[in-house]
Amino acid sequence: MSKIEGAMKPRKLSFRQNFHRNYKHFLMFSAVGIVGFFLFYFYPIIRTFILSLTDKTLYGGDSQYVGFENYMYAITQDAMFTKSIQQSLIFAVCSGVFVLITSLVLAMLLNSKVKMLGTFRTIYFLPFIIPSFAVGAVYKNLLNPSTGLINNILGSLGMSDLPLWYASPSSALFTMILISSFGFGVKMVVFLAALQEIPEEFYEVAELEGASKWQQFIKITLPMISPMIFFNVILITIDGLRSFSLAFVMGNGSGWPSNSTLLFPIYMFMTAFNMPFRLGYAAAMAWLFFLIILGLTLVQFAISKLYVKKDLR
Amino acid sequence: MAKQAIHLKPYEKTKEAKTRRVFTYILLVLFSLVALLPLYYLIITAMKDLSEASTQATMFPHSFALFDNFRFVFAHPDYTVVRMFLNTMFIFVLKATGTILTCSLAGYGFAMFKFPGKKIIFFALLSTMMIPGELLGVPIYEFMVNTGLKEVAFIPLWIAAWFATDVFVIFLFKQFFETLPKPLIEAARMEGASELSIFFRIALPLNKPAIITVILLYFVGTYNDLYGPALYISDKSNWVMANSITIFENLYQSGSSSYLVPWNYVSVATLIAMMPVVLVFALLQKQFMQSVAGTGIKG
Amino acid sequence: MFKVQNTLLLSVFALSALSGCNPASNVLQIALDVEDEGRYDELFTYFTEQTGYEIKATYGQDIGKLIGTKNEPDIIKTSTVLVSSMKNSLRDLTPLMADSEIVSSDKYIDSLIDVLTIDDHVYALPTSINTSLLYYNKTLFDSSASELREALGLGPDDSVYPRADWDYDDYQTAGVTLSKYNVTTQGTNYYQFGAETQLNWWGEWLVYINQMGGSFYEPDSNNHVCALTSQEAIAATTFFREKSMGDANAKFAPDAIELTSDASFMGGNVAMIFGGHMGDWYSYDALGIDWDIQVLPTPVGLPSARGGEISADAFGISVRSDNVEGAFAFLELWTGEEGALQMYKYGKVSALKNMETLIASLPEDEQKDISIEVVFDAMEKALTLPNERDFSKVMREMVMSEIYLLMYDGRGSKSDIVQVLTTIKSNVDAYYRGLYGE
Repeated sequence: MSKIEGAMKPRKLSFRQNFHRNYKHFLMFSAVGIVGFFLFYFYPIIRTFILSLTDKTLYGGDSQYVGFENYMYAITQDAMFTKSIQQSLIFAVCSGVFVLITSLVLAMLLNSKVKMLGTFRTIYFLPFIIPSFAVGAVYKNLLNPSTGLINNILGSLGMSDLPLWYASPSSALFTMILISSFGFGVKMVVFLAALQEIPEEFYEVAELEGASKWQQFIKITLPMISPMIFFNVILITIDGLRSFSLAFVMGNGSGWPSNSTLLFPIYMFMTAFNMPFRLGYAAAMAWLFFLIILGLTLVQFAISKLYVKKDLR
Repeated sequence: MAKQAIHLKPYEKTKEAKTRRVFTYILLVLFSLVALLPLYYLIITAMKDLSEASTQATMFPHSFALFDNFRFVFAHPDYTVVRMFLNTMFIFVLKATGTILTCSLAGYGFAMFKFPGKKIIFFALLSTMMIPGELLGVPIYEFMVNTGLKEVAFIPLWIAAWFATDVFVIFLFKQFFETLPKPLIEAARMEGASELSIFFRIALPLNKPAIITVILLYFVGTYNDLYGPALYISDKSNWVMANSITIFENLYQSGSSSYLVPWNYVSVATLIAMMPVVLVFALLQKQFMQSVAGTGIKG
Repeated sequence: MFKVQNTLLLSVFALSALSGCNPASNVLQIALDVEDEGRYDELFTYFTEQTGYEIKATYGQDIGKLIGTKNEPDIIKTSTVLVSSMKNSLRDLTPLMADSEIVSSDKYIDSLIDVLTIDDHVYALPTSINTSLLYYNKTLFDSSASELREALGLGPDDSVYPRADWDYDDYQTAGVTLSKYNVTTQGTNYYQFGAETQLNWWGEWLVYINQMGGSFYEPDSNNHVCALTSQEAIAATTFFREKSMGDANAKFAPDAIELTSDASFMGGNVAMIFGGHMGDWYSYDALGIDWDIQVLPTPVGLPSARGGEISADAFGISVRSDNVEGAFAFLELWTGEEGALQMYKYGKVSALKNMETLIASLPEDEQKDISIEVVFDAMEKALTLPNERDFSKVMREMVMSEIYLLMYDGRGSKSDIVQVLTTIKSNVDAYYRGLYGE
């Protein structure tokens, strides 16, 4: 065998060599990430966990170790904690579904061949960059129970018992869910990037074979963007559970009215940064919440095996 | 913006296809109206005078004070908007470069190489995303204060980006890399290329959409971010764009909980602040389409 | 070479870290609010000339953040409301005050210095106060002058503005007269109200309770048992509710739904505020409202009723300060007459007992054109908030959220006042039991 031939022969590695090779390469690529993890996540997480085992308050000087008392109190006695978790879950699931559908529909619309596509894309990106106070102000204005445009229209259409939107505790959460459905910016961009990866030829072939648009959607589009659907679902759930600024604006910083817009991040903020500034307790609540999100994500990962398809090309 | 040439395939010229396109068009316009609503409100609030803007919530302004408002905003001694813009750009460039480099590397590692325990590690990484950021910020802030790095060259605001700390971006790259055609990579390996060179020469360039997505998101994120700067920046000459708006939000702040917010000045400052972002997006999304035209070669 | 570089770097880092710990010994740090910038530079220069200590002030930095990261200034701003939760960060000032010729507890208003004194130790000294007042819009009163004269039985030369001897009936009569509405197919639409409704905090409703002789906590219960089911509390809550939910002869304030509309004192279409906040004076002036103040009206038959709130900003010294002498010298100036006069230029009334005389002695052009003497009359009848750490948390989460349900018609609203107050009491009592045991 000549030297060249020898070099061209595909190298076959043993399992052991393969394993080490993979591992080595993985480390090489992720080294920085692993260091980052320890520095910026692991260290603060441990410190926050330790904080959650004390009764530390913001101005309180030294604090005492109280073990898991904070955790027990939150689970068994704190009605606001339970309520905020419940409302956060409802909010995350409902608005998540809305946002997922909206962003996918919009991305698909933007992926089509229509004139002035660039202008539309820019316009749809706008809600993303407009600060939340402007968005909040607009919707508070539109949905104002007595002077808002929406209720004016509904009234002139003959509706008698006009909805109270964000002013009534029974409808405020739903109103917030509705408004948050317009937070599709990031997910839309992600979906769009994924849709653009799908080669046009696939659709051409399908069209020639007589497949309907709906069939094309189910058989081509969905499977090809399924990794991105999974990505967005995780993102949307986490986003929905951590949602702060919209609830802060709509709820005047305290779950107004009557604690109906009290999402967990708001409650945690109130506990830590309003009197009596209970940092230790807030840390414990945060950990409990983290466990809940963890559980949900585990479930989503398990489900993802059913619909995510990789390497389809 | 230059008109994009639209190439219609034969099956897209049928009457059926035409009606579908009209329907699409109508939907696009409807959604645009909703998307433009907040912007409309910003613009008309910028036109109102102080009294109307801060005490009423009208959809059609009664007063017109646009030029007075602009004059007031620019005359404010702390409104050094060019300086703030440059500061923000500095932070953005460092953050975006750091993230794209380190997170794409990490995402590639997760996507390409199999070994036991990978799922667990990835899952651990993902779960860190779920921890409320504010809680993590405090120990890091203490660290920055104790090492005296707090005020140096905005370090606390971008240093984390160079350590692949944005799990969202790692996740994004991972998903994209997983859709790369395996045969291409295998062929490169056969030819004896090192993993790193495969990464830089083949995988990364193929993922332009992902990179541009990250750039866009980071630009907007850094631009609008107030939390980081509020924590670390105290000196006025180091202020960022987000501060340009809060100057006016807090103009009449007093001890009580309900102070007067001059929304007209705030809206003017917001509109000025928004302009670069809109420009960047309008420009980049054209490039977005160009890079996409190139990926038609795949598959 | 490498070693030299290393050591140089290390020492640079060490120096910068150390420099954060040990400031030059004659510099005092103080953290003030955003709006204070530029207002007190002359005062600071004067202080430096007198004592040699330099003042380094930051504006708009959150004190919690500074204390939490061990970065706090020498002089800490607190308040009568916050002092009990900030106590552990503040130095005991009592020994310093004993040696001082300028400062002593009896120079300040009693109720305020009492709140700042915990277990016979003084932790902060008060500066600018806030007390509940009746604010009124002169323009709106003038436009309804003839109707007011008729409704209140006033003579043609009498002033139509609120008087010091008003009771709730007068307040209501004036309020109803000043409320204007249109009747449409969708119901009554108010475009002007006689008074505001404070639903976001307790500054109005709790005052009614206090004035009628009730209280939030049971006396002698160490602030752990709620007293909202008393007759006084029920009567006060009824008045509070009637004001917004009553019929056209009784209603003169917005209910919870109408609160979301544009009606507000600041907007110029609400004529009075019961309670209010002195910190808003600056905003009213900025908006060009023609306003003035009066003492609060009292319940019918109880002209000497107490019940308005009084609170104050206060300044203390950090437990970790190295500059105690200098800091206390500054406090003597800051909470004393020089500081009071400078603060008064920006609408802040100080807590000194002789503040009224100080103001009267100012030249004509520095006087304000509101009835400033009303503030001092109102202070005499005012009460401080219960000195209880969880008070505002309890109020926000358990009390005002339930009261809200009484204040509108529609899905989820309630109308039985006694039932709502009983619910609140049982929730509050359960909360304190959970915290402190039986």
